[in-house]
Amino acid sequence: MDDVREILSLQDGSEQVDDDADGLKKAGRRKGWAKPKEFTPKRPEGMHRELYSLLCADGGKRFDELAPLYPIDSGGGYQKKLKLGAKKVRQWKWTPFKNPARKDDAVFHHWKRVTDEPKDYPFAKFNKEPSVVQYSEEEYATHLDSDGWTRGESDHLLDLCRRFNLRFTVIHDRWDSLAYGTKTIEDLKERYYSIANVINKLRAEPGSEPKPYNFDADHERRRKDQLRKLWVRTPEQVEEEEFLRAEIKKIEARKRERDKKTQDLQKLITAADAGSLADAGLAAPGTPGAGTGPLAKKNTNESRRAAIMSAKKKTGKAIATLRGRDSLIASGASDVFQGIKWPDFKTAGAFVRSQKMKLPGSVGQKKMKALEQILQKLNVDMVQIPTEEIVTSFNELRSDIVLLYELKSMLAACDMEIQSTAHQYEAATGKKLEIPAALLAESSSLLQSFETGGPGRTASTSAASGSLAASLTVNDLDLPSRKRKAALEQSNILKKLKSKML
Amino acid sequence: MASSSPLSAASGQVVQDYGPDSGGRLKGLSVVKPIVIGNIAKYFGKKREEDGHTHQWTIYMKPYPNEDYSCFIKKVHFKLHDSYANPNRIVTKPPYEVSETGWGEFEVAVKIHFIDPVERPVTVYHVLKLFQSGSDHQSLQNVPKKTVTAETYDEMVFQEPTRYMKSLLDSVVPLTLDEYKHETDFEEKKKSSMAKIAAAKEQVRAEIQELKEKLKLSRETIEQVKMTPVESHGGEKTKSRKEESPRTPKN
Repeated sequence: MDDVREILSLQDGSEQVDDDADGLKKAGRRKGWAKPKEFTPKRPEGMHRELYSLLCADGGKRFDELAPLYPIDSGGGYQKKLKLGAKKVRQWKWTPFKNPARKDDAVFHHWKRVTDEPKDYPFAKFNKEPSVVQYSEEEYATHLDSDGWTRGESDHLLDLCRRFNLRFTVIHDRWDSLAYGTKTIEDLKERYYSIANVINKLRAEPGSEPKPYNFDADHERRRKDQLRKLWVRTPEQVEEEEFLRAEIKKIEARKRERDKKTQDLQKLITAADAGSLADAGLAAPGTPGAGTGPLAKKNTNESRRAAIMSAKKKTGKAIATLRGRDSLIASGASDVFQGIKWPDFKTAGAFVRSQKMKLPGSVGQKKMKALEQILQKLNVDMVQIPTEEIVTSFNELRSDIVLLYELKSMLAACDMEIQSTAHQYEAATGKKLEIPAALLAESSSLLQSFETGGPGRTASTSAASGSLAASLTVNDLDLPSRKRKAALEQSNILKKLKSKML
Repeated sequence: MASSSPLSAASGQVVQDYGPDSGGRLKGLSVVKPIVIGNIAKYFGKKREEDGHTHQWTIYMKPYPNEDYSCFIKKVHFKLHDSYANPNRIVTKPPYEVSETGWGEFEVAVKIHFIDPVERPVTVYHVLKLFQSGSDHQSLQNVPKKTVTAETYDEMVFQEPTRYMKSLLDSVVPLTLDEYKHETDFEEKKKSSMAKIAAAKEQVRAEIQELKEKLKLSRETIEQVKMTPVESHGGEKTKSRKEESPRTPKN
């Protein structure tokens, strides 16, 4: 059968083909080409297989289960079409009406449904009429005869108020300026409300206090004056104002900056004080001036003077110069040398002593590493038996080591400063700067170690003599000293250039 | 105290002094109770088939002196590695120890709770040691059944203990029944560390002094250089030089 159909290229017998599965099986060999013969819509190029199988249920074998690829209008859809306007059109009629709010019996017309009940004009209720005060002869004579208003003017005002329902803009417009002279809206309002207040007070029932109208005429005049001024500004004036505003902002920003700087300086000064104190405390007795004590004090005095000066002048410049010039010394003074700050175990409660030996978080990675190095060199274990005695002295030892480390990096920074000032000095005077011999020996070796920079291997002379500090690597100087080094190199290059040119 | 009967007064006293919420701490007093935390480990000699464990070990917390601490310790909580079926082992009576088998080393948190609930528990950490350190490791595999020990000394410090805690701490009695010895000789170690530290301290102090003097000298040098009046024309020269120099390559 298949063959016949194929030959006749019949396509409508797909169902039968399905039923005729046995026949297909028999023709197993030809399955490959027998399949396309069934009606299967070709999968459009690029369409995903999953999407395709959604479209064609059962792998697209059954034509009648195919979902339509495009919208079809078979007429008998799922929903009946809505039929609009089935009812008859209701009639509208042009009808006359009267507005009860009007007293002149004027007749107007509007469109109205024929079926609607005839009733009052619905918008009449919005015609609100304020009650306008009225005074008697006697009242005027006794209470209201003042304020530079004549009786005639007052009468005219109240009349207008009644006519225009207290719409003062209109009242002002309708004001008979020929007969009564010009008045501003504020004048009119002021007069009216003062009259109203007096009359209300007079007619109030005894015991009850009527709420007075609050009208501040002066305020109103000023307000309008201001608005007028704002309105009549010229473009140039507007521009200038904007410019001034920007300037004010700038000034305020500068002021804030200055305040911040002064605060910083204050901090620096207190830190320097503390530093000198700490130094004085650390310096061994009998060796006056060991450490930075007197020097730090001098700096402190200087910076304090500078601070006062700047406070007086209120300029950031003084601070800037101070910072620039004495940067190293100032920063050096602010380094409070204290080694490790161990946490207190003063609170009541139980703890294990080994906790006291834990390094506080304030000790950085570099210091920790240096500590390890030195302890190793000193042949002291990193972990100790936590008796009270050992904990105390071990902690002291480690604190000292960190202090040593700090001093070492400080010295290296100082050395850089010496080098750079020496260069400057030479450049300025052409003379060679005399550096104390003791310092020179050490500092030059330090410089070497700094420039070679290898961690742990310092080829300095003091390393041979077993100095601990020498085993500390000094390639971890803080940023300013690095900058200084860069500056130094730059000046060297400049010098070279200069010499070449010559 | 307002109560008239001596009996109630006495009981009132007890509540006031030792009650958990009395909060009365003994100012300026601190009681130290040394302890030893450690473990011993024994190698099976081979890897156990069913779970791959290789060692039998015991971790312990014991008093350093030959005393019974159970009169103030409520319980000891050993927190083993999470891979153990029940990693939280709580021991309420001495000996405070946990025996297990395993194949790896890990840190055990030992939390000691006290009978007085006002005193917060303290925690000590011990890294379980199963293998001989370093090069011994290989040889250990060849020498079966060798025991490994690791002990650390620590001290529990009761800073300003509550009255109740103090009474409990005071009730510790020394035991003299049998010989009491630790695997490690801590007394000897204490002495040697103390000496080492003292020597090291001296050395460091000396170097600090030396460095300080150097620092002072270098600072003074800087100051001196800065104070030296530099001829104004010289200063200007440098300035002009610096300004000129960028132009030089063009020329």
